[in-house]
Amino acid sequence: MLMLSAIREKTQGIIATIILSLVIIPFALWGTYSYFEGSSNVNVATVDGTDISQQAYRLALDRLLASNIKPEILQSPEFKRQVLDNLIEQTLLVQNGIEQGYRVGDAELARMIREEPAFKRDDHFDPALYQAVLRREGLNEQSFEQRLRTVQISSQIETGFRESALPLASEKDTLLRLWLQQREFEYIVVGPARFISSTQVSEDAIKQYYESHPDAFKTPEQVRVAYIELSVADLARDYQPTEEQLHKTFTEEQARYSTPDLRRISHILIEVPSGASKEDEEKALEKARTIEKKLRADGDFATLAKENSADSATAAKGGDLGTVEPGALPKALEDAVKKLKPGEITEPVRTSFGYHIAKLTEYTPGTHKTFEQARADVAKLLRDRRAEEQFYEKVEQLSNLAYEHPESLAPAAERLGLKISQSDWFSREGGQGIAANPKIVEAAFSPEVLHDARNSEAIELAQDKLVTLRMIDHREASRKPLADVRGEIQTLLQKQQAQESASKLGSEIYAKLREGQSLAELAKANSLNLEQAQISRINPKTVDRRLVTAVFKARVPQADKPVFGEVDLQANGRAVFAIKSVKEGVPSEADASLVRRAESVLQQRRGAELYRDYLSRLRETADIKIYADNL
Amino acid sequence: MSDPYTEQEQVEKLKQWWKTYGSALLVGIALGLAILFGNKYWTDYKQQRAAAASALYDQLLQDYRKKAFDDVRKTAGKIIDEYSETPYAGLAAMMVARVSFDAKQSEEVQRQLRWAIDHASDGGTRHAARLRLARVLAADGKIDAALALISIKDTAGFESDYEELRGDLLVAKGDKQAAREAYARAIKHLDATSSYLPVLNMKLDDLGPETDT
Repeated sequence: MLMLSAIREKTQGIIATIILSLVIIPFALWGTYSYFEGSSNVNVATVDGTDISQQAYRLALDRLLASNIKPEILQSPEFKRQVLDNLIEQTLLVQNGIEQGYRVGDAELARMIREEPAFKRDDHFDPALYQAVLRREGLNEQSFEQRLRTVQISSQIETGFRESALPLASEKDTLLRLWLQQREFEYIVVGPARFISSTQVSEDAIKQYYESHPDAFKTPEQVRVAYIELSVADLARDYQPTEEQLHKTFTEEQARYSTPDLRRISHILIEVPSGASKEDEEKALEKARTIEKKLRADGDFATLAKENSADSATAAKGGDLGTVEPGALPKALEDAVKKLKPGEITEPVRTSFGYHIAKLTEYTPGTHKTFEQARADVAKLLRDRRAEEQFYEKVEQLSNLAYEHPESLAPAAERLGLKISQSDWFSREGGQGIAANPKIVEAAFSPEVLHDARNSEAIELAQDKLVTLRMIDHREASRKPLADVRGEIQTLLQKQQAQESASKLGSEIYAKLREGQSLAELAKANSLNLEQAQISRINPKTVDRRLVTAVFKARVPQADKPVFGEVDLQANGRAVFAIKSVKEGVPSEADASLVRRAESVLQQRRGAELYRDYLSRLRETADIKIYADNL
Repeated sequence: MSDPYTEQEQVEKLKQWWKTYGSALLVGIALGLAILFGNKYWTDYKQQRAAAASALYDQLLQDYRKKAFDDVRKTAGKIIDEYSETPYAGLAAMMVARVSFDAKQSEEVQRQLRWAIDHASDGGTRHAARLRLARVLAADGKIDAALALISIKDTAGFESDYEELRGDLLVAKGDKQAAREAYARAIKHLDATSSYLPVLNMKLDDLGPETDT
């Protein structure tokens, strides 16, 4: 009985072990990651079977939130879509990389991280800094390195595609030929201006326009607010400190009213290592004395410093330590230096470093204000401190009073001795004065202020400036009455009519031109200027862009038979042209900068843009599903 | 809870089962593990080779930047000979084509691009090489050969480049109408943010309007 149960336990044990090992082995090989990821998550997209989780998408958005992009932009659907597109592209690149066999090895990856300037301190890779930067960016090492690999692979492909473009001379010539092609033509422009005076706009037409454009001529919703401003600058203006306080502060804050003696010093250091023998100590002193002797015999300090000083950082600069404030040097050295006049040198001075010989190169004596000289400054200091104290007290009071009496600002203003000001009308777009601040606008149009007519919370405009406000007047969005916009509509309709007339006359002229009349005659008959032009695509001079496009789209005239055309210039009327001749561009006549431009346009198209095609190919051949509801 | 007889019977059954299926099960498990580890080994091996080719390719790009063109050829040769199954071989061949182009070695340019078209493992690279070889042929006056080279079905992602090239070739052949249609397709497939749009429009406009009125 006992034996049997032991066997049973053992057999169960063996089977359990086998089953368990079958389950464990795959985990050991591939990690648990791919088994659990995505199983219970909400996804925003699936790219060829790989899910992009909502979490990953949120993380990408959050990272952008931390940057300085405006929240309105971040909330827009286009932007969200762009973030998603970016994630999809990354996923595609990773998938493609794996599938095609692109790879960045660990050694290569390590090199990239080591060479990244953001992870360097004093020109050397700093692992602690690397960790810190990643933490700040909210990334773990694994996902960062994964991203780095992706970036590197895309850069390998991009560079390859870009740099291997072949700059064919024939292609460059084609471009230059087209750019430099010259077209000689004459043209007239029938402008609307001459028809304005003869336009007739009826009252009915104005009314009809007003009624058929219900969304035009609107004024937005507007408010006016009353507000209390609490500012450090306005407080304690009349505060007069007592004589006693002034004296006390003057003594306490001596450093504010004086500047220290400043000495610029050079030194030569003969090093004595700690724990040196007596012999070495004497040797060092002897060497210092020799140098001192040379210096006193007009030896050049800078040269001797360069040759002898153990302080290698300053030795190169002739021993210059720069300007030192009191307390910056070891005590013994400072005492010795204090006795010097500019240009003089000390005897060898022993400090913990060894023997120094110092030279005073510049001396600026400190200044010390008397109490009377400093009186105004001391008074201001006390006033500022007082104002700051009062500010923090009053901030508290203002918040409380505005909250306890939500229906009025008066109690707070009275108790704190502040005045109530009023703003002009402003809309959600903001306005003049205080309404120029977006925080004020936001508060004024918040539901508590706008709908419940309560005081706003205290709004911090700056560290030392606070405002609380309430609405005193409100105007709904409305439509301007017809009477106010009558003139505006009239002008608009006049312009429309004039434009139509110009267009009609232009077309008539074009028809006559094709029947055989010359453009010169027609111009004269209609008292229009006949303009002459000879331009190329690359240099269209001052000719209207739309006319240029039409002229270069037109046929090439054959055997002295001009080619005619007309163009709608919208608000500028209508143009009619006659092309007389076309002269092919000669590539060899292009100047150097134009040649460079052609080269760079082609390099871009045949190189870098091919990589973009590469990416869009990935997109086109991938099976991408987007779950827009989860964005 | 159970009498010894039943337990005895159960153990017997288990033994019987083991006799019949035991060896098959062991062979199955061994085979499974072999496939698992074999596959893992094979993947690791491929990854190692890819990483080695990748490092060589980075070296090649550095050499190119330093204008050490002989070294570019040497490194590229190594990638193409020893790592031809990796996608870096195709990129290396295109780089050698560029270096040879600058050295005016037209035959070598064509040889490298052809190798990339025939052997590059990455479809994107094959397209880039094909487009470039066709332009090289056209510059040599071999318009029909170029047209034949780009007569392929799958141009996904690269449609605009193929159509522009087709347009250029048709202009060279004097077939204005077909060229117009090719350019129009090139414009249709162009990325909306591309700064190349004015050039394509210019090529199209230069052919004049379809109907002469």
